[in-house]
Amino acid sequence: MSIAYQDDKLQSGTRYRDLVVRVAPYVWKTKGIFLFVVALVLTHTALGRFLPSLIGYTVDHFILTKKAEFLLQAGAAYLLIEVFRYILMIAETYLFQRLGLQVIYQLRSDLFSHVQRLPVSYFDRTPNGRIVTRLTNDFGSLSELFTSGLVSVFTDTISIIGIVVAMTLISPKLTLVVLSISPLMLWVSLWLSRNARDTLRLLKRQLARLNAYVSESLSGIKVIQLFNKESQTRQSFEKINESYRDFQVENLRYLAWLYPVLNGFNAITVAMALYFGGLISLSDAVPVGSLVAFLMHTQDFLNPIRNILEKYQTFQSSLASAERIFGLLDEPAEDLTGQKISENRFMGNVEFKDVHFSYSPEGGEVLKGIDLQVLPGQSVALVGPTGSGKSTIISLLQRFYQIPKNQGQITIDGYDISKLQAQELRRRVAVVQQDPFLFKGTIASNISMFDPSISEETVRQAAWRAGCEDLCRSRDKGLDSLVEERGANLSVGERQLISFARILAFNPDILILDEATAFVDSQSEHLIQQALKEVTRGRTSIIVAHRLSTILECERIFVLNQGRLVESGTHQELLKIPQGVYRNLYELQLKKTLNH
Amino acid sequence: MPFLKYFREFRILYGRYFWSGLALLTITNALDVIPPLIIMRGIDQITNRASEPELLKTALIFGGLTLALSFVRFHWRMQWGRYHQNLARDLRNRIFTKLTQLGPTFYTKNSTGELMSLISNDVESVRMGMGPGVLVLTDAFLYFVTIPPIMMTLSWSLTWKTLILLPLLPVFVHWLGNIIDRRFSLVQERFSELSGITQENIAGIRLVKSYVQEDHQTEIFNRKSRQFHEAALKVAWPESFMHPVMEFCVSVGVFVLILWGGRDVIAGTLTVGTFFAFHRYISKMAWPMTAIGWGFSLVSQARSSIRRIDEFLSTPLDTNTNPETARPLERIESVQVKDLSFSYPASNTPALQNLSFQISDSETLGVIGPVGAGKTTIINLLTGLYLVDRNKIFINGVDINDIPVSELRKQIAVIPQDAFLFSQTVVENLGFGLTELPSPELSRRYARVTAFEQEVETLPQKWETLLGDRGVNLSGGQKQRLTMARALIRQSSLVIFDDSLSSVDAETESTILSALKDELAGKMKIIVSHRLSAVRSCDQLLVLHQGTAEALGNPSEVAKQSRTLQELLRLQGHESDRL
Repeated sequence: MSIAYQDDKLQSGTRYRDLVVRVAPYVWKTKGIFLFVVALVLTHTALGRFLPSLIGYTVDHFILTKKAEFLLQAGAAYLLIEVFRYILMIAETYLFQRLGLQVIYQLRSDLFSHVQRLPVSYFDRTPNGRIVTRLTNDFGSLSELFTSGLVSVFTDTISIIGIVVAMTLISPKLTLVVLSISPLMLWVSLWLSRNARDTLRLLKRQLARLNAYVSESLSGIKVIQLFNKESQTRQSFEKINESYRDFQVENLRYLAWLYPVLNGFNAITVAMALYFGGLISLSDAVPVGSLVAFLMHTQDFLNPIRNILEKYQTFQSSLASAERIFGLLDEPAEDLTGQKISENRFMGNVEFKDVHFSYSPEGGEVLKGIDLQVLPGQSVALVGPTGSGKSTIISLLQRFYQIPKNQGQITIDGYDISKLQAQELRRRVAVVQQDPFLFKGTIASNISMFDPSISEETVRQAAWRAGCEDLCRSRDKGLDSLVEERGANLSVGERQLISFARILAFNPDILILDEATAFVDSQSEHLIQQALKEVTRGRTSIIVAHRLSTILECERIFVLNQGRLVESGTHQELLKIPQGVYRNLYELQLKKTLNH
Repeated sequence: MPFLKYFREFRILYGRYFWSGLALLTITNALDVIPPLIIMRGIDQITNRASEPELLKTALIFGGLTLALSFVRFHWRMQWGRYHQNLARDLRNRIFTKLTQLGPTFYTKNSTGELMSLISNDVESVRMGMGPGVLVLTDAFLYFVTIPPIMMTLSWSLTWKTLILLPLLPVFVHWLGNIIDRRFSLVQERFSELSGITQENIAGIRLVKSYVQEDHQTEIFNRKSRQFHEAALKVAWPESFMHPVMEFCVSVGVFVLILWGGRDVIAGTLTVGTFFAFHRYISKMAWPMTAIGWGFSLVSQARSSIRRIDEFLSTPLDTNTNPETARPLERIESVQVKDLSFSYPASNTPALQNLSFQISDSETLGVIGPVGAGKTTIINLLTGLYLVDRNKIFINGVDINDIPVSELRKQIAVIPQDAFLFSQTVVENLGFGLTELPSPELSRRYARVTAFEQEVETLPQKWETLLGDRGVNLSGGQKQRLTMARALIRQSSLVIFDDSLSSVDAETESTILSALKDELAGKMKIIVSHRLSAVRSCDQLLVLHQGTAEALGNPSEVAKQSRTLQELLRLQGHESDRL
């Protein structure tokens, strides 16, 4: 699924400068290695430039003057310098990688920890896949920029400077003549590589489209087949595929020109060096050996320029990734601050005072002035049709959303919860979701939520009290039996029991339960009802109820409809209200079989 | 050998690009070995103090030749590129076509991720192997047959002395390449673990926040992230050796050249120009040596990829219809199931056992039972998603195996439980099963029937609103109603509700059901549900329990016989034995 998001921003408004400013502090943390590597690069490039000169010198001073006895020394010097240079190169490549990985690790860790602190509203409006891509693939692209891109641009630039310096040392005049066409070469090759980059961008976008199409077709394959749409789907795919190939060929057109053009220009440079150098040499201004060295330098020009242009094309997408990463890092985090709670436990007196709430300014109000009170230790049921505001109430109680000023307040034991420390509040007010979410791990780790402060003993007791005994026995490793991703190897009923055990292990002061609607077999149903009694015992519990049996267990029922509290009371009381919402709901389920 | 089979096929299919690419490559290589010789001549002219026009001539020849080379080089790249891009397109088309033909038996065994990887990664690796891989090997071969012979004509003894270390290079590149590949697969594994826990964390973010586990989750994430980076660093080692070692072989060659070549120049058996030409050729020979190592690894990756692709493309299809006995289907008038037993391919417990029922025109069959009782299996079999034995299911008295699947599906509208919509506009989704987009009147009519009409008005671009990740996300209930409209607009003669109303509340459900009454009058209906209210008014009610029919008949009679139903009645707050 991540593939589909890759193209959402391929063109970036970020400049290299912005990137440098953001990344510099991270790099500076490893400044020891960083400066060392820079020194290595400078040394190795300088040594590299020394070599053609060494050969030229050998030709002029040993070969042409027929001093064979010095050849071994010259050769040995050459080989020694090379070996030393290779050692530097190995160290430098490795260290650069290490440095890049360290920077990426820090950045990734910071981003993850930041994501943990984003408000729930952010997750509501952002597809999960997009956030996952930021934390995974985007870093891949960014680290490429580090480990290969910037390094090679850096070393290659130093190389080019080194070459020009070395050439100038041999003959400034010749250098000037030979380099006279390089502005034209740079202009043409930049033009080509800019086009190659732009077509690459289109190409990637088309690839993302193609992948998204395949992925969606696979998810909807049953629908496609049941609606006899195979051939039409195929045609659409072929069209996308066809244009993907066209983009590829289009991109190739520029790439295929790029190297021949560079080669051509380089050839002209060499030809000029040969001719003009020859002329100078014929007039004895430059010895032949130096001319040979000069020619070697000229030919060495090609590789660094080619490398830089090659990287240039991938830079843009790395830059876009960087922009997305920093964009996410700039998302405002949830405001968790607030006053501490002095009491050890909440008594559990929950009160809603004229609470109004809407998810977005333009959206309508979801809660239109809710007033309700739950007494300490009481179990209450929230009942109402879809969209009546039940889930919103749950979210507000955990301060996942902030109630705006003058829109009412929620208090627990007299504390306005919007003024409490959010995390402190959440530790005391726990929620069991309708479809309990389990992490990959073991049954035990799902009960303790990987929290090291929850002891094994606590986990075991919680599991037994929640009735997970049979569930553990039926698996070979008991509490340490494996749970697959999202609890795929457990039934709905089993997942619920584990989430109840979780509650018992964390022992919150107030419980909010969003009851599952799924129909489970009667044995599991029985276990769940037992566990439900266990978790609600002596604890203020607010239950979004879908089952009559659960509703009947509660001491009070609050009936919501379209964001308003319309009725409240006991089951018997509510049934007596003629045309009442509760009565209507009840009847819809029962239809003329009312015998109460 | 699937690699050779496909390679031969594509070579023939795109022969024009293939052969012209290779021919141009050969010309490029033939031209490419000449420039050092020209420079050699130039340097010798300078040392011999030749005249200026002669030197100019050499320089012009050099310039002219390399410019010509640039043109040829561009064209072989284009031609060769066209060959392997077309090849990749063909493979993708073939894989996609096959994907649309395979049934659920295949899809339950293969994950979407694997299939995505087949059509993207494997196709790419085949393209790289058959394109650049084959090219690089040919290129290396051309270098071998041209450069060493030229060097030998210049100086036989110097040739073998300078090139002596180079044959070790392919061995080294291959060896190092293997280490890198092996370590890299660990990196990939670590990466997928990292994205796995990231996905999980984001999906469970409310839970994480709820239990104030942000810091522990970050610790767990950092641990995985560190493992990933450690694995990546293990690849960095061998990688950093690759380039220097390759260059080292060249350096040794140059060392030999200075020592022996220098002596030869002093002795007068070698010119300074030749000395320079040798230097160029030694550097040039490093490429074909590395190319062999690289080319072979590309081809070997392509070979394992094409094997996977070939295996996939030759997956047998579940076709049940024999074209000779196949008959068209105008309209479904009766459905008869006789003593039907069925097990899913990978399972050994039967999903359905000895099931029989019959529905005739304009009748409604309700199917009820707990999760896993076999409700959805009945639908899967009726719609031909799975093969069924002969003489078990009859449509209009004809064995279902004798009706082409496409004919069958045209007559059946299934409204599935999980509402799947495509990332298209609302109206495109609505008209998904039609040959053209529905008219506004038709759209409105079916939106009204499914209580979706007013909701469309609230969407930003009404009927033209784009749905999905890039567009608007509908609520569960809205999606469900749109999928319902999408099925009904096809006006098929049999309508199957597969627990389709589970995500709307009871009130909306009753609104929809009453609106549907007129629309569905005269049609055959199968309503599968776990909610009693949905099947209350059926003509027949089938209660399934562990794949067998616990009861079948008039709903009120069934309520007396069936224990499962009584249990359900109790749980859903109904008075037992009355419906």
